[in-house]
Amino acid sequence: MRLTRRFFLKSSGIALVGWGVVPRFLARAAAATAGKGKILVVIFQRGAADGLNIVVPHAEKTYYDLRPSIAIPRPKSGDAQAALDLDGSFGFHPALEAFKKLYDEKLLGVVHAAGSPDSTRSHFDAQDFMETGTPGLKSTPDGWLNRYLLTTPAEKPSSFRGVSLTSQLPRILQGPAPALAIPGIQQFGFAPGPYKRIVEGGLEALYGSSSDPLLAPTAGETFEAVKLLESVNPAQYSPAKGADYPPGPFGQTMLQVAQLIKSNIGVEIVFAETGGWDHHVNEGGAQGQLATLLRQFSRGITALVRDLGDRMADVVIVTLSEFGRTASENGNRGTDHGHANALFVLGGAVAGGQLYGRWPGLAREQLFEGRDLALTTDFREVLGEVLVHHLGATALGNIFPGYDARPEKFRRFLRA
Amino acid sequence: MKRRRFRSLLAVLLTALLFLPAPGALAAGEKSPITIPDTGLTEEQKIVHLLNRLGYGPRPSYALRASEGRPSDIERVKRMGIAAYIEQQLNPATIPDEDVEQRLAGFKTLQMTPFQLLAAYPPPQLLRGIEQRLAPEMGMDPDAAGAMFPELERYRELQQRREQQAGENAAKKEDEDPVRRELRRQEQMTPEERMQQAMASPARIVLELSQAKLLRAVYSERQLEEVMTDFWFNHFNVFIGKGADRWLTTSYEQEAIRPHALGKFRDLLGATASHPAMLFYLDNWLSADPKADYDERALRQRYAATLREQGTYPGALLVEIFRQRGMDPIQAQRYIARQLDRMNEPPNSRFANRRPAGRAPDGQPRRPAQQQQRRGLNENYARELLELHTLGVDGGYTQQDIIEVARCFTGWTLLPLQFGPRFLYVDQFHDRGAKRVLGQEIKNGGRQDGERVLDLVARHPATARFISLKLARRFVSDSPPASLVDKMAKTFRETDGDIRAVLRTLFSSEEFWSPAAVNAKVKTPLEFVASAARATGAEVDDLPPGLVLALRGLGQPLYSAQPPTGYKDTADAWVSTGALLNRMKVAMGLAANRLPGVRVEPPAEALRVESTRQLVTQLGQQLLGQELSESTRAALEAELAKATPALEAGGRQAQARLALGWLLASPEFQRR
Repeated sequence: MRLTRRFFLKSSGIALVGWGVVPRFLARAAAATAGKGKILVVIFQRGAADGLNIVVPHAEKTYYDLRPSIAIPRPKSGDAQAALDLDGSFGFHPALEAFKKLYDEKLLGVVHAAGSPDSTRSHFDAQDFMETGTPGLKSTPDGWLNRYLLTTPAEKPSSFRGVSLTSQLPRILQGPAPALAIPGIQQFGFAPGPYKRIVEGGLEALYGSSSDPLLAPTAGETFEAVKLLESVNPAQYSPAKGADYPPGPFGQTMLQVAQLIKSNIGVEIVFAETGGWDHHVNEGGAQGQLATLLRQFSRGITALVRDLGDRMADVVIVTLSEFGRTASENGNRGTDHGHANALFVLGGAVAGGQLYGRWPGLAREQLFEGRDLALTTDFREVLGEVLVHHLGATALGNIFPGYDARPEKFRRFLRA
Repeated sequence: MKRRRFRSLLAVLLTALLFLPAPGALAAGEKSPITIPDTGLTEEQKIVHLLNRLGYGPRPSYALRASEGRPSDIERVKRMGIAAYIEQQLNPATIPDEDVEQRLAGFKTLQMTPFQLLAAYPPPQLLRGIEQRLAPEMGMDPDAAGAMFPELERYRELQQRREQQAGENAAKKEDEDPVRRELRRQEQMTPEERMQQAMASPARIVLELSQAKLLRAVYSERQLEEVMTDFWFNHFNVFIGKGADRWLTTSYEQEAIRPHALGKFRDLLGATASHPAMLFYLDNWLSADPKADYDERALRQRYAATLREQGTYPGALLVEIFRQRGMDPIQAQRYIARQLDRMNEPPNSRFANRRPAGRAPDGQPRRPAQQQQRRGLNENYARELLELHTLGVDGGYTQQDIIEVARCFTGWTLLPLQFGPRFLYVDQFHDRGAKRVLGQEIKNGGRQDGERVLDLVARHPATARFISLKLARRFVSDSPPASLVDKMAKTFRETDGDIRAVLRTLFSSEEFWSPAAVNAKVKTPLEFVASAARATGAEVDDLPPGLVLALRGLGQPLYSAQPPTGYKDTADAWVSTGALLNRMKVAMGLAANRLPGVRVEPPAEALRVESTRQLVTQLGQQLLGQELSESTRAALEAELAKATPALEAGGRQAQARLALGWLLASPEFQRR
């Protein structure tokens, strides 16, 4: 079973490029459109989401042999439990109704059989590798998003250039370049109350009168960031019409992503995460644990897309998960840790409505180590394309050290 | 939960003890090998600097309840003499530490071995395996099994509902979805309920260990020992969140780190290399000669034999789990027989055979998914041993050295988790060939190959330099002078890695006592929180662990540094917009008594002063151990004046708390 889209070079200029460094003339051309107010949102599904049940290879008979109780039924009109067909070979899990609409509107694409080449099946190690961008190396201290921020100067400096909607700064954003962890926009500054202004005033005075060469300037940025976010008036935010955020923490997170982007405070990189994807037991098929998560997941992201509206021309959203799951189900009607996965790319700049990558097949000899979906697209190729062609990054070799992220390897899901 | 302390008598006794020369310390009149050079600092400045470096900051008199006759830390050091104080701190066994020991007495997980921890707080996968496979095999009634493992009650509930729903119509309200109900239930739990739930699970181990570390930092008299334990744990980092390490880290700190923190480097190195926590964390337990020819069955028999030698047996852990949950041990023993049979069966990769349903395309029954492949050489530990633990990244080793070191450590493995993890040397995994490490030939000596490597690297001059550099970074400044590092390295080499001796060199150096070194370091979150608690005389309960939770928000959740490099000890890692904001919030929260389990009272003397200026001056002096700068004092005074109308109802108390919060958040307090 083959997917469409084997990439090919458009311009011979690209053929000259090696080692991930884009030649100056191309960089300038790319920078003309890329990088201007462009935004990347990375959403991490922690726990290893089951790509085979999310983007279902319904034309493969093996899929149904391997998953007798949890496989998603072949598309059938009128059947609400069946896969939502995409291109005759693949279909969405029925809970991804919201994504199907985006797919039909060409705002959403899929890269299947993608992920990290390292064979670890440890959640911690694999998440680490995917966040540091150096699969196999455990001692990388910083994350690839931080390296992007470090090596690519901002158009306008902003404390909010790299933001994560988590309680702590994740590995992917850790490093020398400044990045902010915002657990919740409302809770960013000091607790509201009668003494808030007094407390802030005292702190500003203290740091303002200090000659500490390191702490004083940092504090200055801190107070500015707090004021800036407050001026955005988060309490009054109302989403655009048609943006239907699902209840629950993920919906809330997506809403805050929209808020941050629309408030124009210089956000360029946003990171968010969602957990609970580790379905070893009773994963469920068309109904069940995975279905519930997928419903929230797709509705939340779709609401974000709708809320951003026209702004989506500047925004690309990429989903990641540390690895996929075993091709066959296990004895507990769940799946175990696997290898390659399906990831989503969304945005106005994405040539959506298609699947990208190369499908390796599910026959036993085609599986990785005889058990998992094999990898045909490295996640760094997907992100590399976004970083270079959307954000205008030029130092890809520094962002993904040790990886030969040449532009000719890109899957080309971004519109030229 | 509060601790009761027997105050007056004990306090007097302790105060007396602190002045008596204890065995092992210097006798009265005996000169310390430490000499404090004259670098222009006053004696008080020296003492504050020392307490900020050798420990977690000075405690002012009100923090020690001066009314009971206990002098402040500064006073005490003045009376003893700086050199004598340092010498005493270098011999922690001579320092009584009853307060801390009483506070920790209720933390039962601290006293438990990994085996006991696994039995009392089993990992969820083990419980699930027991409930779903073992219990039916043993003929247990599923309800009885469920009752024995209440943690799994919810899972069974969800399972039942799902099976029910499978037959029903798809159209369903979200509210009835059991997973969403569970999510909502979790959200609606009160903090107390959440804490209770955590305390009955493996999370308790992390909680108690973290809270114990914090309590020691705040209350222990053996401050240098605490600082060195923290230093070495970070140097030989393990991540408590990685799989089995959750049950191994307590023992790691207590047995491999703390006893050697002020001893000989080679002993410390050896203890960490062979501890299960490190073997698991850096994967050496998986490492084996790829050419090794071993039989899985023979291996299992070896495990069983080892267990018997140690007076236990395979399945002892499971029996203990059942016994603790009220099951009749005879019933549990029935399982043992089966387990021993299993020892002789073909290997399976998991707790029990798990066969996927259905048949493979060729009509054969499916084989269980192989989770573990054939073992091969794992370089992880070898690399970090050279790069992070000893020589350092520029220490002059090559990639080939890493491979050779890895070959030497093949066979250094563990008894698997379910038997109660312990170090085990398995010769069948060992690479028998000759190896060449850093120019030295190592002929096959089995387990001794690893020991030889440790001898080699411990004595390597690059190691002396690297360790001295890290110590100087911790104790002096982010870029310590080369002259100091050289001196310390020389002592390291000459004393064969005697940590005490190296520290004596450090504390006698001009570089340490130089005015340039004073307040040169930015506090890490742990140092910030511990020094804040000490400086304010905060009363920290054992539960809820407000300060430990604050540390998570500040980016230093204890024992949870994922990469082997541990937490960074330089300012750039801890000073950023977000980090500074969080520190300020913690400071204000602490002063306002908003951190659960921590109470701060403004000192009585401060509440009795006449003017705001006096309040600020006194609090500043007490908190920082030194006079505030004129600009800081003026700024605080002005802001307090502005605040006074709004604080009217709270009076002096409110003013004092506000000033305390500001002082804790001030740039001066972020430094040490």
